[in-house]
Amino acid sequence: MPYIDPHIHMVSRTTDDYQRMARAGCVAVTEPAFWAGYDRGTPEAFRDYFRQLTVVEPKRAARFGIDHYCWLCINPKEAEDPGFAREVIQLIPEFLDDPQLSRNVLGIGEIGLNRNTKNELLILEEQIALAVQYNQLILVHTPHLEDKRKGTKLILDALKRNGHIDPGRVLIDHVEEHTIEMVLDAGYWAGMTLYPDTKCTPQRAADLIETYGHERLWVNSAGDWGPSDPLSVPKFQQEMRGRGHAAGVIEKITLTNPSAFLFQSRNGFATQ
Amino acid sequence: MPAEHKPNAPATPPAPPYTLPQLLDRDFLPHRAKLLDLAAFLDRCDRTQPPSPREGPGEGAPGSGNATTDSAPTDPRLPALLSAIALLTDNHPNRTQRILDALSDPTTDPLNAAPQSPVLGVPQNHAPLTTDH
Ligand SMILES: [Zn+2]
Repeated sequence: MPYIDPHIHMVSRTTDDYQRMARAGCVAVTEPAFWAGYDRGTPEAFRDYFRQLTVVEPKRAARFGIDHYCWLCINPKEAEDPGFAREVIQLIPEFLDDPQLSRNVLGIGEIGLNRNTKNELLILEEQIALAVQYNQLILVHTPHLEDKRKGTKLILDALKRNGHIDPGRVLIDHVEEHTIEMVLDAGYWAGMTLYPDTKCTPQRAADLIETYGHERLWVNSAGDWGPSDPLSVPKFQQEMRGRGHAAGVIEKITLTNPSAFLFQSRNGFATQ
Repeated sequence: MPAEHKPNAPATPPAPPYTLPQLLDRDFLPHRAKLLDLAAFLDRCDRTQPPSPREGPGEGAPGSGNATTDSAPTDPRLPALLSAIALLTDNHPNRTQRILDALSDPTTDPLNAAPQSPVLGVPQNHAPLTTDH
């Protein structure tokens, strides 16, 4: 069954992963800018990273018939130094304003919070404002483990404070049972991340679908350089099939819903 | 849809397409195995050596022998896990959400700076759960 993995860090994955994903039905991926596992030493390192996301990765994916899209930002883990973070933020319009470089850019992401600090919140607010200024979609990372519930509330407050945000153009990612309701109730989209040790499993994501329905929800692997599984979306499809869910429901969560959200992008999501 | 339903909240979905006997046939054994894994993990915690004096909370072994029953271990992880396990058998619904809530930082204000300690998966100052609901 065809699917989109709307949150995966392919720069950290091998070409073999692209091949296996293509065989499992992956037709498109979207790759948010994130932490590389170490703090980058200079803002220039981000310019190189953004070129990797906008130029290199789409070509690598195309070899396997997979459409590649990306999101640009400074991630919350490297946002504790506001001066440094602002230098990175200043690079982003270069990419948004260039018709060639912006072709696969869907929006600003994954912005959000890591340890729920005041500086992280400040940079989050400035990147929300950037997204508004450039009419971009927003992809939000919510914190890990014990920090998630508090961080998700702080993020929803920050989005509301901006005053110009259409919740239908924002996806709050890595929701779990204790955060999904506040996200959906406020009108945002919610992403369920299928991760081995933290976040959700394919089984719990299927439970959330059974509890909250099919609207404004998607699943993703968030595959990266840590323990993660680039084939977790097809594993979710398998879990849903095994429970007897209709093919139309499975397709909605793994293909139609991500398409519907991403088609709102200014730069054009073109996967059919 | 109930009258007090919030405008953005999704409609209550229908019952899932499987019965309890079907679910048990499919998923009972893997979850029996997970229960035994959890029990074996707690037994393993009980067998651990005493921590070296340099090991503080969050850095190493949870405690010397009977780690799961010692009265005042310094690492917050095991007490939080044991409190959360109690929620499995209290016969109230939404166990997953209530366990996640119990394992969440209860504070609401942003921090002045990132904490030095890593995320542990439980609140840093774990308070035992009360048993009433
Ligand atoms: Zn990510």
